[in-house]
Amino acid sequence: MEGPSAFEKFFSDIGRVFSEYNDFLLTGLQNTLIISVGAAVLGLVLGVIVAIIKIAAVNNKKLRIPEVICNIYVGVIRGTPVALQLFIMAFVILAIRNFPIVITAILTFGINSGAYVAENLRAGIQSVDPGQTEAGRSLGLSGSTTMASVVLPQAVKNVIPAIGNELIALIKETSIVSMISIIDLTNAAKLIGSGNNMATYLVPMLVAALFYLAIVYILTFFLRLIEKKLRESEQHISDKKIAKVKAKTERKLARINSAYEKAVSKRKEAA
Amino acid sequence: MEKDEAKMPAGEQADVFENIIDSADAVQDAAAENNADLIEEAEESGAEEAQESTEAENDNGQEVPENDKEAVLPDCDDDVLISITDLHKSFGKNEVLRGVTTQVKKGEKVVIIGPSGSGKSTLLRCLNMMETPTSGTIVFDGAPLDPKHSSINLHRRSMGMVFQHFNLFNNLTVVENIMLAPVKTGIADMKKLRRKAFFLKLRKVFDKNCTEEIPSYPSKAEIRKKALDNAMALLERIGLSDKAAAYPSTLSGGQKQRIAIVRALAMYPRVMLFDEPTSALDPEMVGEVLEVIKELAEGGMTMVIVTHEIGFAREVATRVLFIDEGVIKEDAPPAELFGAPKDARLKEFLSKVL
Repeated sequence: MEGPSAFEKFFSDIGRVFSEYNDFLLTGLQNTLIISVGAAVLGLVLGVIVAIIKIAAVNNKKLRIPEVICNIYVGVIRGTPVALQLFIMAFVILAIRNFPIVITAILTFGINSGAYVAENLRAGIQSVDPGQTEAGRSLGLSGSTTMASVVLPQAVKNVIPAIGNELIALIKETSIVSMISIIDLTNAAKLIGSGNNMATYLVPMLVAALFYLAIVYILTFFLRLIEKKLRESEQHISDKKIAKVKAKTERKLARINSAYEKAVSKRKEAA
Repeated sequence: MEKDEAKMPAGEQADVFENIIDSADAVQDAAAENNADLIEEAEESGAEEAQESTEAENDNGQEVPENDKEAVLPDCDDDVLISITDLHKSFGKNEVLRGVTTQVKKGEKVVIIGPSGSGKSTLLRCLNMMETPTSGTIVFDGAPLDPKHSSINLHRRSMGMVFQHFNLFNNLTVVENIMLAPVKTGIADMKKLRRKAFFLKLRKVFDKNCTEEIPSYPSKAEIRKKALDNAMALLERIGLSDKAAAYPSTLSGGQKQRIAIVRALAMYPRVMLFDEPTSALDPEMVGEVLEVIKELAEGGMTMVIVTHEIGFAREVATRVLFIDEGVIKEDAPPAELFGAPKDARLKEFLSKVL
C-alpha cells in the first residue's frame, strides 16, 4: 500500500484548509481587516490632529499645553512595545466585563499608529518650502487657509510613501492580537494547524501568509494610484499629461462659468 | 481717492495694469466702510492676543514701543502710504536693521540697493510683516501694522509681494494660483457680511425702529467668476493665457515670475513690494520680467523694489535708498545718487557694481 505522496498531501491539505476550516479562516480574515481598517482610520485622524497642533504650537503660545500633551503621547507610544500597550489596554484600562475585545485592539493600534503618522506628517509639512506659506500669507490669506489650500496638499503628497509604510506595518502588527485571544488571521492559522485539527502548521501558515500578502498588495496598489494622482503637478513633460491637466482645468473653469450663469438667471427670475 | 493723472499714459493705452491701479482705489473706496468694519472686528478679537504678546516681549527684556495711535496718526500726511519709524530688527545677536526711518509716498517707486547682508531684503520683508520688527513702527495707509493682530491679513491684501524664488503654489495650476487669494478672501468677507445681514434681519424682527440697512453680498459663484475673468485678463496682458492650465513646474523662471507678479496684482494692491525679482533668473529672462515691472510703474503703481539691476533702478526709480549695515546711508533721486554719490561706502559699492 502506497500512501499519498508529500506533494499530493500538500494540495489536499490546502483544500482541507479552505473546505473544513473556512469558518476559522473567515473569522480571522474578518477580524484582521476590521482591526486594521479601524486602527488606520483612528491613527490617521489622531496623526493629523497631533501634527497640526505641533506645527501650530511653534507660533502660538496658547497651544503650549496641548503641545506638551502631544509630545508625551508620541514619546510614550513610540518608546514602548505595542504588545505591552495591548496588554495594558486589555487587562488594565479596558478590563471591563463584556467589553468587545476587538474594539480594545482597534483603540490600541489606532493610538499606536497615530503617533507614527503624526511624526511622518509633521516631517512632511516641514519639508514644504516655507516660501509657499510666505506667498500665501503675503496675499492676505490667513494661516489656516494657507495651511489647508497650499501646504497640506503638498505635504500629503510627500508623506504618502511614509504613511503607506506605516499602514502596511500596522496590518502586519495586528497579528499580535492573538496574545489577547482574538482570532485574527495568524491566530486562525495557528488553531487550524494545532494538534486538535490538522496537526500540521505548514499549510495553514502558508495560506495565512498569502492572505496578508494579498491585503498588502491591494493596499500598495491604491497607495500608488493616489500618489500618481497627487504627483500630477510635478514634472509632467509629456504632451499627453499636459493635455490631461489642461482638460481638467478647463472643466473646472467651465463649472465656474456655468455656476455664475445659473446664479444670474436665478436672480433674474427672482426679480 | 486722488489719482496721479500726470503719470497715466494716453487714454488709448488704458490697459489691464492701469485698470488694476484704478480699481485698487475704487475697491478701496467701495470696500472702505466694509473693510473698516472688518479691521475693527479683527482689532477687537486680536486685542487680547496683541496685549499678550506685548507682555511676553516685556518679559524678554526687549524694548517695546508704545503703540500709541494718537501719537502716530497726526504725522501722516495724505500722500504718505507707508511710514517707517526707527525700525530695528535682530536675528538673535545679529542686528540687521539699526534704526531705519523713511516714508513711501503714493505713486513713488523706491528702489533699495546695497551690498548683500546689508538688510535691504529684511527691510522690505518688514514692510508687510513677513519679518516681525524687533522695535519700531510701520504705519501703512494710516494704520500701524501689528503682526500678531488678525487685521494684518487685511493690510497684507493691499500690499502685493513678489519673491526672489517666485513661490508660486506648486499644487495649483497657473490660473488657480492667481484665483486662490481673491476667491478665498472674497468668500471669507462674504461670509462675514452674510452673518451680519442675518443678525440684522433677526434684529429687525424684534426692533421695528432699527433702520440700519441690510448689507448685500455677492454669491460664491459671482466671486469665483469675477476672480476667473480678472485672472484671464491679467494672463492675457502678460501674454501667458495659453499657460493658464499648466502647473508651475512646467514653466520657465521668467514665466513664473511674471505670473507671480500678476498673482499679487489680482488682489488690487495699493503698493507692490519686489524682493530681488530677477536675481534667480537666467540672464535672458531678466528682460521680460523687468518689462512687466516697468509697465506697472508707468501705470502709476506705488512700488518698493530691492534689486541689483542698477540700470533698471536708474530707469524706473523716483528715489533710491542705499542701505549698508542696517541704516540708510544715502537717500536721493537716481540721477543724484548715481551721478554724484556722497557716501564713501556708496562710492565703493557703485565702483564695483557699475
